[in-house]
Amino acid sequence: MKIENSQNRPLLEVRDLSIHFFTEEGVIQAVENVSFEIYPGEILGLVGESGCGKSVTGLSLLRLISIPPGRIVNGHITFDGRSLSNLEEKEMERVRGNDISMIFQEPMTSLNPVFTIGDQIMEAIILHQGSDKTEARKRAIKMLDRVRIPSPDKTIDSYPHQLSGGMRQRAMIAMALSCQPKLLIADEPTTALDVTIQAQVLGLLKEIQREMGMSVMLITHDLGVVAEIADRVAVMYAGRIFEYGPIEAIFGKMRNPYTRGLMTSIPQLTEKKDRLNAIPGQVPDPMDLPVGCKFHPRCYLMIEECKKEEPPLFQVNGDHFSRCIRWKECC
Amino acid sequence: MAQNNFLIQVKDLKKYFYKEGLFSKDKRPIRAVDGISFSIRKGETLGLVGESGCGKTTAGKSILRLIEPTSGQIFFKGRDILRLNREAMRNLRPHMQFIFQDPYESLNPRMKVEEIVGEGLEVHRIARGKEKSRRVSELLEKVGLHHQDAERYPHEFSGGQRQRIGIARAISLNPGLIVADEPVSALDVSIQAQILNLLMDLRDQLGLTYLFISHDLRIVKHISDRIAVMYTGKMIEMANSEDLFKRPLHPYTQVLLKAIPKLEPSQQREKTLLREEHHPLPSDQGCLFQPRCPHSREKCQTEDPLLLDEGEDHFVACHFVS
Repeated sequence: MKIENSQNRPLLEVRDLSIHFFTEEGVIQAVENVSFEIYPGEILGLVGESGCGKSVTGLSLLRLISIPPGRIVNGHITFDGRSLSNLEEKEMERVRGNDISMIFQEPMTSLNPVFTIGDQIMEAIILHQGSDKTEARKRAIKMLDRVRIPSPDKTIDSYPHQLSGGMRQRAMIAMALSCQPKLLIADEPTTALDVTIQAQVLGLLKEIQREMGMSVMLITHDLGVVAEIADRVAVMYAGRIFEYGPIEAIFGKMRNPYTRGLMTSIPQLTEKKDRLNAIPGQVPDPMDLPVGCKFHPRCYLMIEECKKEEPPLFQVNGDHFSRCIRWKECC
Repeated sequence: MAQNNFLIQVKDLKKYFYKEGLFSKDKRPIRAVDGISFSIRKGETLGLVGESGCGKTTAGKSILRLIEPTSGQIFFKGRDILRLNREAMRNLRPHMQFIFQDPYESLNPRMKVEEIVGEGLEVHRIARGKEKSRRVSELLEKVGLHHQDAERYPHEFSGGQRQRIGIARAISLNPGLIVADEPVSALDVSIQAQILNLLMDLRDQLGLTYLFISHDLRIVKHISDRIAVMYTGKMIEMANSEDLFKRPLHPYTQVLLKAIPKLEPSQQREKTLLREEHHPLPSDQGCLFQPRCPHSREKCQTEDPLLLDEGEDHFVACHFVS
């Protein structure tokens, strides 16, 4: 679903979010000045390699970061017109699982092993919607059916260990959607799954998302997954957003050398077997980030100016942005 | 086909895991690898692909006897290595090496890099002391590290660098065959590409033969000459890389290929939905893929399909195709 027009108010607005971790060894700038929006009914992909800050960003929306050692040192989060940053914890509890829900990478460790999946789904319904057990159970079965778990009226009484990985992930989706949240944060939901199951789960997510008009923040390291279901994408590196915009714009003509590096690192099925265009070097130590552009030591477009100052996000076109002073020559 | 063309020939390899315990109700074994056969020519790379639980890692380890096979034959340079005694097997080990998946677990954290990479040279009495150090330095440079790294410990390196150390260790004895078990799966995408390039460069420089195990078809296609697809312990298709992708014959292979996320924004791409996930109990009859197969018919439930040549070196085990 595309962004309709500029009159659409974003469902979620994140402005200048900075999250640092204060550890004994030093300060980790996990997320630095990150801004983005998610509109109603759309899927935003948050893409990057390990350590780029994408998971921390997602967790911070629901205040799931350990504070200390973490701290939101700057920034503002607005959801559905209300400020989330200023909410009391009690009010935040009403948001979690209700207005904003989250699913995680490893369903076996995110589901409680000593409760049936039915109990876990019903818990959220009873808590947030005030339903009684009978009503909640009915709705839970309906939800399990919706995520295509076979024999939902029996499976509802299963424990997580009795289900396969893909089934557990579906159960977790059912749990997350049971209160019909406006926004679902999905943190690497398919990374731990086999590719055929991944395809099914992604298809399911997209289907339900369309049906419910729900927004999704899809956190992943896999560009292919993003291309598969996202409407817009934000590429992160070393805690910053490096490129941001609609999927067609970025996959059609990306304007950031890091994004380009990510794309060319993935072997394509149609390619001949030459060497891959790998990005040289490695992700910087978060406690020892380079001065200037955080990507410059690995960048094929690097010039002297890149070492001095961190570039801002340049507007490429409409709502397509890139953090690179040479974006016009890219890629 | 001339015997001496093949560096390794595997015939009807099986590895069953038997559950122990007096009170175990189910005496049936887990047939992790259930009769697979394949050959790799010298200098060739065979990709072994399949999803989790298909037996590919067990197969890879069995071939080097890191796990003892239950039955079958493994001919390395014409000799059945399953018939070798410990001494003879030990002497053969320099010729066949393994690269592990998890760079965080496959290096001894208490050993310096020099000891890790040079251990084989020492144990097989090929080099020691200064000569060993010299060779280790050479190997480290070869895999893109610095000779000073020899003095450091694994925890001082990133995942990609540790994998390079593992590769240096694997090539230290000048092996002919390397079994690489998901060597890049635990790495970030940009580092994966670097390590894949390294593996390909080394292959050219050192004339290596690879058995490359992975669940990622994109990577497997990039590096392999031929690809074998496994499903619950059996080989269901095997062909040249190009041919497998142009003409996937087995229904499971077709689904695997369609499931690969592609780097173009998706219009409504047709995805064959497999029927519900199924963890088949080891059965003696019928095709194991049958419960999930869109083309399943009666014969599939009763007869296990054989791996047959469909022409041009393309093998498939499927009643529907034949």
